[in-house]
Amino acid sequence: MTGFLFLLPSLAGVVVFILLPFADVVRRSFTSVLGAFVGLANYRTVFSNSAFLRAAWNTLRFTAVCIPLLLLLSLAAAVCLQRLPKAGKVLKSAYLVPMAIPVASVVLLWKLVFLRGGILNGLLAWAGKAPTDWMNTDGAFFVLVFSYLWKNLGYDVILWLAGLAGISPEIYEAARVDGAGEWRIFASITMPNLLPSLYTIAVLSFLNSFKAFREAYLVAGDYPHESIYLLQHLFNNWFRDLALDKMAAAAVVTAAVILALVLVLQRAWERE
Amino acid sequence: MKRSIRGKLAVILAAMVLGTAGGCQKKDADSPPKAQESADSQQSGESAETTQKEGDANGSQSGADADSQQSGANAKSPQTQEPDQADTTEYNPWDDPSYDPDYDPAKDGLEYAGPPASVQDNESADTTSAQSGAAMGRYTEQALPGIEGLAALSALGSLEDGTLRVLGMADMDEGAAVWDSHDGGTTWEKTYTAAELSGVESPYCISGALSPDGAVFLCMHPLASMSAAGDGSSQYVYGKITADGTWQQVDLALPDADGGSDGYLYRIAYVQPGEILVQVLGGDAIYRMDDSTGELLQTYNEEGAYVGYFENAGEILYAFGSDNVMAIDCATGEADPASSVLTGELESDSSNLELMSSDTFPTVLCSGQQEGEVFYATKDGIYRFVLGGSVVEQVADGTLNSLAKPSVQLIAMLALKDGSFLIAVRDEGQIQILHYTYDASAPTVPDTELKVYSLTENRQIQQAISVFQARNPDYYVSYEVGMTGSDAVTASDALRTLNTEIMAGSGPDILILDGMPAESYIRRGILLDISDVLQTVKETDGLWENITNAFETDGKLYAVPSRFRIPVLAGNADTLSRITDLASLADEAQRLREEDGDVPQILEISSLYWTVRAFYEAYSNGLVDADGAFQADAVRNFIEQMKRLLDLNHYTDVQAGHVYSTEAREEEAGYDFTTVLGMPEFLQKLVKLGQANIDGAFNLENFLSGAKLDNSLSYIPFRASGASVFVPNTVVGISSQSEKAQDAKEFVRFLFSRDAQAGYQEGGFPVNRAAFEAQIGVKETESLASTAFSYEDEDGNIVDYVYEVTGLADEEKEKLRKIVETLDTPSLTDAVIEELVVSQTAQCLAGRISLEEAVTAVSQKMSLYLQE
Repeated sequence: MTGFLFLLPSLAGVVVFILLPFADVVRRSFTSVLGAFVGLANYRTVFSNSAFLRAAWNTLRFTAVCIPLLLLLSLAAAVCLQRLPKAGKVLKSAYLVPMAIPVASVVLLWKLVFLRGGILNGLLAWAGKAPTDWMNTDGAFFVLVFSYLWKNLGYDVILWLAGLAGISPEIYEAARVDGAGEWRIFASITMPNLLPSLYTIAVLSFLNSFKAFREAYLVAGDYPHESIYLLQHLFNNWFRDLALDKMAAAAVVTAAVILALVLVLQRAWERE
Repeated sequence: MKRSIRGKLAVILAAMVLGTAGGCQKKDADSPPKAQESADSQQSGESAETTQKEGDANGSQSGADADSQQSGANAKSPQTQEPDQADTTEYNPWDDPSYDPDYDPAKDGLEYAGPPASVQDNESADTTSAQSGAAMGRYTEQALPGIEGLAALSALGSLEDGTLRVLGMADMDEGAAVWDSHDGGTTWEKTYTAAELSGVESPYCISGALSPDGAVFLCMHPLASMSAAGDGSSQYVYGKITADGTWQQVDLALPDADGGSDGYLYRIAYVQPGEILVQVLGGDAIYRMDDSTGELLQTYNEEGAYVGYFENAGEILYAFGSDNVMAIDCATGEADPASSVLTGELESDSSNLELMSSDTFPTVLCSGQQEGEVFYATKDGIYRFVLGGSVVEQVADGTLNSLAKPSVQLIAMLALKDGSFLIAVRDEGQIQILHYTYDASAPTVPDTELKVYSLTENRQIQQAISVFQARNPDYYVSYEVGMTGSDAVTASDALRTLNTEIMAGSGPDILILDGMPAESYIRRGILLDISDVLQTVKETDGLWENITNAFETDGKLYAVPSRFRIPVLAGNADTLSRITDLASLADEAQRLREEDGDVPQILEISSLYWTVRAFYEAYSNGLVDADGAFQADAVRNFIEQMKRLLDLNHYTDVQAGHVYSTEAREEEAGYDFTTVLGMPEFLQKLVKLGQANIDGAFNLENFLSGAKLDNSLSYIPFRASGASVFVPNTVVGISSQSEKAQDAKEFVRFLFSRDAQAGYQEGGFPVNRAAFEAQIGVKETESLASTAFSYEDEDGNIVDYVYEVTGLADEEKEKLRKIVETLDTPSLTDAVIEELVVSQTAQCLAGRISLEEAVTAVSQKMSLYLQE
């Protein structure tokens, strides 16, 4: 009982500000904008809407490219940092700095580098190539990926370090005494012990990947290049046009997909 | 197992810490701005509260005095045009049995002690107490009957016995004159004319001042004897008419070299009987002079800080600069610290300081009846300030009367003994004196509130609202603008805020749908069918149905344009006959360039942004075909032809810098050139072709009057994409969520009525047929304006042109009617597409991006948009 009471304030907040509104969204996904019941018509519209399909595909592609990359790179960095206790402290802060930079500043830097009159084009002009507006080409996608990796690397490194710190050093000593090499230690001791952390970090990184919308929106506005047209762009524009029925249906679909992914991941790692 | 839990917990804890740390600098990219909305509602609530307090004070004050003064406060409804039934017998306290010379209002707690401490300023008042239970009492406005023969008003004043006095100009022959009213403004008689008294023929009254003791001081220009010789002596006559009617010419000892024009007194005011303050035109110093001897007593603002004009309340002088107001105590000549709150309040809105014409002022000021009381009026209303006080309180809300009307300009203000105000204004050329009296029985804010919303400021709507409220005092129409321009709100942000309000049920009742996704709103049932409203207008005045039915859906009218513009081309009649669309325009332009290599511009293009926008409006319906599918070829054609037209022009470096700068739009954002057909440029042989989306008869009258000097010039409707296009403006819709649909329909009916559409000529031709006919109905013999210009012809001679802008000839009127009848296709009103195409085209024409890039960008983004 006391446990429940401790939980109550936070639970009340979550219910009022997140669960109840989401329940309303689920309700709206079955009605028209003004409240008339329409059954599954909204879902049919959404699944046949090419903008939604493109946005969903872009989001999926972005996630599929970013998450594995981020996990690998941050794990490598964390393992290295763990071996360097003194330099490690400074480097840890250095990795975290990108997270502290406001999005607007990042966007400004982005524009300086990638737009028509920017630094990248300047370098290319020096090499003899014609200038292009990189944000309006397929390269925009990779710019977004790079920006995401750069920003979130520090976050994941810290999380990995916390996970690594949870492994008792005695096991390592025992393994070294037995004559195991570095890679062997990594594969047999570090990795299995990190698997629980992997699940948490993967989920957190996945949720963070949706924040990439901020940079994309601030640089390119309501209608960016096709390759960085994400789900949030679509929702933003639907709200401007008062297409709340489609928005609700798409939101429910998106939430269901994310929930499914998270549950699948949980199942996979819990079994270990 | 334990280890795994420990590992998990460590990671989760770390994540939480990092998450909150990272979350602190999260920026929500799309949180809607709500501050503006609450500030507005607080302000209207606050004015309700203060007017109530003011009302209590006035009511109790006059209760201490006799009843005859009370009658002035019981104002009649403004709809009845009866003049104020003020008691004309002079009040004599000795006859009034209730008058007690020893009565002290403070004993009854009735003395007005100033605003209560809880009222800090307009923005922070508590709205709930003002709005719970109907607050009563506000100032109502009546226009005094016009003064016959008054052509211009220079000063407004009152004498000690209550007589109202006006100094102004009778017609041009009679000149300066003084009118008096002994019955509170109902009837006026001409007391003096300066011509009679001074012997000067046809004196043009430049400026003047009225003293409460009956004296009048004038600065006049004797028109009949205009001397062109610059013999150094002042052409201006200064004189004083004493209280008993004798003329005294005064030689003012104005200092030399004021930077002003040899004695043209721009402003004169009495600081106390016998002494005047004057400002010379173009000068910054203000002089205090004796009105009989002309002696210079004191100079204020000797340092010469820029002063546009000045007002005064007794001994306190307020000098209005370009962005500041100086309050000077005339007794000491130093700045007056007691006025700092007042000047701060005035300075907070730059439109209070901006001089828009030579004889009207953005802020007018006068002293009140009490010691140290100052009243002033701006377009936002009438305000009261007590010297040394810490608040400026709003006494009357400008949006509830004519003060906020865009066509009204203020001239002078006077506070009367009974607590009412007189404000002289000019409204569309007519001089009016508006009388504001306190009506304790009128609700502070009228019962029925209608909310009107538009994305950008629309002056026709503001005008219509003012007129509607004046005629229907029980309506309060509040006007909300989504993008005021003073904050960084974009159109998308404003729309999202609006949609939030609509879905929350607190949305506006009437929507002006320019720039909004009207089709989306119609499809989702957000708009009401207003066919019935239009039916009544159709039956009384007639409507251009080809325009009003532009957005008809399923036989119902949800969004109806109330004005429209017509894209036209002007130039040589022969050339025009060969132009059928945009491509043939470019062909003809090329042919003209081959013929004449010297003329600077073939098609007048002075600003890329505005020209592209105007052409876009003419061409846009060709970008999307009947099924709503996007036509990439049409965009390519548009950009290519625009490029051809632009390349045919020869610009000087300075001009090119301006034209090719796509940033120029910010500077020009206030003035829309797209409606003006330049006429002098044709006669000066600077251009061969012109394009405009004309918005009123005056554009055509100006063009055709000048075309009489060159018979080859003519105009045709511009069918850029082959269709007869018109540009719909001020599209009106009523929200289906509104609880006041009937009242909203009343307002919409007014918007489409002849009165609302006939007067103000901005935004487009009226759809109301009667108003349209009234607008074009100016006779050919009637002169509206005259234009004079000169140019250098081939031989280097300077040729002067003068032409009168007159009404249209009957054939021209018929031609215009026929053109309007054939208009059948509305231009695309979608703001997203417009912004996209115009910006990419402008950038391509300016050379920033290539044609292919522009077309690809437009195609891609358009297809995303249309797929959504």
